[in-house]
Amino acid sequence: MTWKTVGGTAPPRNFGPVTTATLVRYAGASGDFNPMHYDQDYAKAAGYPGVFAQGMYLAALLSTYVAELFAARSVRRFGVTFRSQVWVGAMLTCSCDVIEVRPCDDGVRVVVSLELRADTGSVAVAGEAELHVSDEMWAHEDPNDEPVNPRGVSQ
Amino acid sequence: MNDEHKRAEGQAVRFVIEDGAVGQFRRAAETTCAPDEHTAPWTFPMAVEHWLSPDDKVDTGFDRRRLLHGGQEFIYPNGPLECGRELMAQERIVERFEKRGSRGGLMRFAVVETTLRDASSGEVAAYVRRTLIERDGAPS
Repeated sequence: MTWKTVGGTAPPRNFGPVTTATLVRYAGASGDFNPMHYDQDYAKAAGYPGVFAQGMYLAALLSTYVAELFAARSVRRFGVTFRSQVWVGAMLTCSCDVIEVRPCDDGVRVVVSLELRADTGSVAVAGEAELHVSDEMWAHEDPNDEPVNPRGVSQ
Repeated sequence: MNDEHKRAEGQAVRFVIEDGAVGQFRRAAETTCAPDEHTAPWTFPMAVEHWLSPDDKVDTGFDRRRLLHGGQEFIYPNGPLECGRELMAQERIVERFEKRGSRGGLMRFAVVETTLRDASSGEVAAYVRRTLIERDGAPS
């Protein structure tokens, strides 16, 4: 059963745990050095229980998931809204539902609805992407289409 | 109220999609696949935003202490950014509106769009839109 149809759900993917190190790495790569995301004392003084993930770090993980489900080249639009904070230690799950498929010049235009959830169950980031996918890639059936799970995190 | 934002359009600033910066961003974004024909991650333009100096940026007039990042959108008319490409980035405020929050407080919104154009052809490579929200100053 392929998920590559309207209403289909792609294999999910896990990331995490979120650590101060992953947040510092994102701070360095993006140039966003807001101390709220790596300085415990600063975050506590601001009234938070501790540091929390940059929204755009979570968006970057969500985009990695979608880029590796389809192809990095496929993107035409990627948008996110931020719903709730993610604390250090959280495990994350990304999911992708196909909501629209229409033929275009040399392939298909696919619109997907996206979510990144923390293991507390709350949606941290909701998103949507529009992709230009080749016919070959869209038709391709991978018998080993298991969730990509680089760190061996259990579902 | 509109006079509170001092600058609705920023300066155009040149930058290059540089391999090393893209490599670091890919690692931070926990990419596991090989680079796809040397394209930058979809959210890489965030790094561009942080390279702009305050003088190059728009000024929403929002109080930083009450500022929230509501959302972010990346539009790529012809696909993702390629490494090595030289672009010009320019910000402008494209939309402002207000809403009542669930507790009755006034929330002010601004949508800031950064246009990324090819430095030689002028063709638009991407539009990057961020939605900023200023929470009500009154105690809830």
